[in-house]
Amino acid sequence: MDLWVLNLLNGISFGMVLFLLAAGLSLTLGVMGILNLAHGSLFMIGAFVGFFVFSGGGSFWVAALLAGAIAGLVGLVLEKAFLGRLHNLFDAQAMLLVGVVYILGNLGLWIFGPQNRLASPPLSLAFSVRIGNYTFPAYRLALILIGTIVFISLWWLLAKTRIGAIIRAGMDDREMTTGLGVNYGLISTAVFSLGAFTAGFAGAIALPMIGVAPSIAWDILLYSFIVVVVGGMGSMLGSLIGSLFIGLVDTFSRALFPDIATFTLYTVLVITLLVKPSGILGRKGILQDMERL
Amino acid sequence: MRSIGSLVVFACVCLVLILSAPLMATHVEAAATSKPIRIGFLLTQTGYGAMGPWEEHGVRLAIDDAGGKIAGRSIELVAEDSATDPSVSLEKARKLVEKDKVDVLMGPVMGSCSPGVAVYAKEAGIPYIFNCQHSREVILSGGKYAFNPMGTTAWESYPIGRYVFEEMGARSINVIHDDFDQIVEIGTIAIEAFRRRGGKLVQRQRTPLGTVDYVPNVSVMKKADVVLMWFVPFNALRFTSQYFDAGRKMPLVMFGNPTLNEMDLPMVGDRAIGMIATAPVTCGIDIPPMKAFIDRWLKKYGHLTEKEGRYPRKHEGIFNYVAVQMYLEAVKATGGDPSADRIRDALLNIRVETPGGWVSFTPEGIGIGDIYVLKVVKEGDRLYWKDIHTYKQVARDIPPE
Repeated sequence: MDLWVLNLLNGISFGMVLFLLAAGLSLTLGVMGILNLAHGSLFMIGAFVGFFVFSGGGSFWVAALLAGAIAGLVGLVLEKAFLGRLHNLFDAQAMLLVGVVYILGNLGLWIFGPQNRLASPPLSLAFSVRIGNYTFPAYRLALILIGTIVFISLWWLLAKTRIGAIIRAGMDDREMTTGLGVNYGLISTAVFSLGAFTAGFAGAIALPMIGVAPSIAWDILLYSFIVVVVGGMGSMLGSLIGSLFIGLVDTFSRALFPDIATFTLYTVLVITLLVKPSGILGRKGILQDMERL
Repeated sequence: MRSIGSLVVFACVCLVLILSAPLMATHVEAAATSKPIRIGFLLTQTGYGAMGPWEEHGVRLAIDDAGGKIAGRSIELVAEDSATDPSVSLEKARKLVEKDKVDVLMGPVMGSCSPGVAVYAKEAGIPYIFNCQHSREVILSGGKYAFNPMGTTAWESYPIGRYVFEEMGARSINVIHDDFDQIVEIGTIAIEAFRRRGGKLVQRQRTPLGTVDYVPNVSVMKKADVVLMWFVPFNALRFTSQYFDAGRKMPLVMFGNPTLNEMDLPMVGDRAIGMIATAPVTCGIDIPPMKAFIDRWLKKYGHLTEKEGRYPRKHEGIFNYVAVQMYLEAVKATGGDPSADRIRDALLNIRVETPGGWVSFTPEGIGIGDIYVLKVVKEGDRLYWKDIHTYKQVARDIPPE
């Protein structure tokens, strides 16, 4: 019983980290049709910023917000200076973003060195709770709470605010939205920066669990792609469900079938693409919309 | 008269040529010996396996310790970055040999990159010195001019299986490690060494390289006297932290090089105290040659920051030093002749005192040296790997028992 409870909690906490990571990617893809291959690099930037601010004596939570802000700024520059000039040129965008990943990775190596980093959780959460014969870090329980708060915030932004209505309208029919006088270009830039912010924030928040090294970008990007495909592009609830699903599948497959755990996530991905390519809660017609963009 | 005159002139010319021959030979020889000895080194500066500045520091220190010259010839280093990429490694190896005309090839350290380079070096007929342990098959694939002072990867793990049974008194082991060929092989050897002595394997888990969360694996670990583990550096850091976070108490033993180096240990904290590993050399070994080596390192690099490689915390720096040191001693033994056959003969006959103790080679080019069992200890604020047991002067290969 302890084993099931432990892995259930672990799967949910890991899923929340994936949600923090994938939420921004899902938004960017849903709003702008851009598959941000540099998303993992933004996660890496946030993680490094968070690590150095926190280990330098700063508050963990301030470090996480600062990490998000800096990643958001990098995202803003990326979108305005580069991606914005390649509107609708998806191949060129992809090539650009791959180049950005290598540049940011090597910059990270140059500035921060090749050393792997893993942070301790903040003192207030540096304890474990007993679950039968095991202990479970309180920080991982906090991740569940943090993920929930971020989800509610993003959901509220999209569902209950005027800006959110504009974003959703643009996702459904960009031409019409622009025709109504909305500066959707500005909205897109803001959404891209928000996506970058959440990636950077996720990087810092996940430090005590995942750590950071300059090479982390591609590894973490893969997880976020799987979540976005499974959960559905452009949907916050889809991202949450996808993240939790992937977190639990990954956790239990490693615990119960470690020898085939490598294939489990890819199996889920393939099945999703075959059965429901728009994802669990992806917007209907999103794939067609992306072709029209 | 005319024919006698021509004969005299011809005889004089011959005499001049004969008398000047030794001088010309000397000039040619001088030209050859004044050419520097060129060491081609494949470093790993970028990519996921980036080693940082310690690698190059080790190489340059070895050259400095030789005074920048060997057997009257200056030493020139031509270094390239392998980018942790097998195809880049091979491309750079070709460039070093065919364009830069190096006399010897060394590196890279990553196990995925060096096999191709070893085979190329064999085809090129150039001496090749590995700068890290590798499988026996890969070392031998480098041909008769390939040497590995650090020995085989199997060598690292066999003593641990033995140590855990004989010295730690363990009778059951739980094994967990990254899932790629080389590690699966050396894990199997450690298990075999343990089982041969009567120990029992209770469980073995092979985790994919991209794993970020080890708690699921930790949660299903069956009870044993000892956990034998090995992961690439980043994964080792994650696994160790998550293992202790989950409240597991079985002693952790790495069946090979400690991939948690001194800079990683503080991130695990005091929980790492007592961890065990094996290595041919690390900076924590308490022997005079290592102390002298550290002094020389600090003299050259002590003004740098930790990140810039002030202290030889990463053993790859020491491995590189040893690789260059062994080669330069061989060049010294040949009187400055870097030709492959002479270097091979020299390497097979020399015995060199390296920072990790005396090293020589088997007829197959596999290092013979000391094997250290290490343990994480804390002295003051410093957590480091300290040698606690030595297997003296063994061929760094699987024993024939």
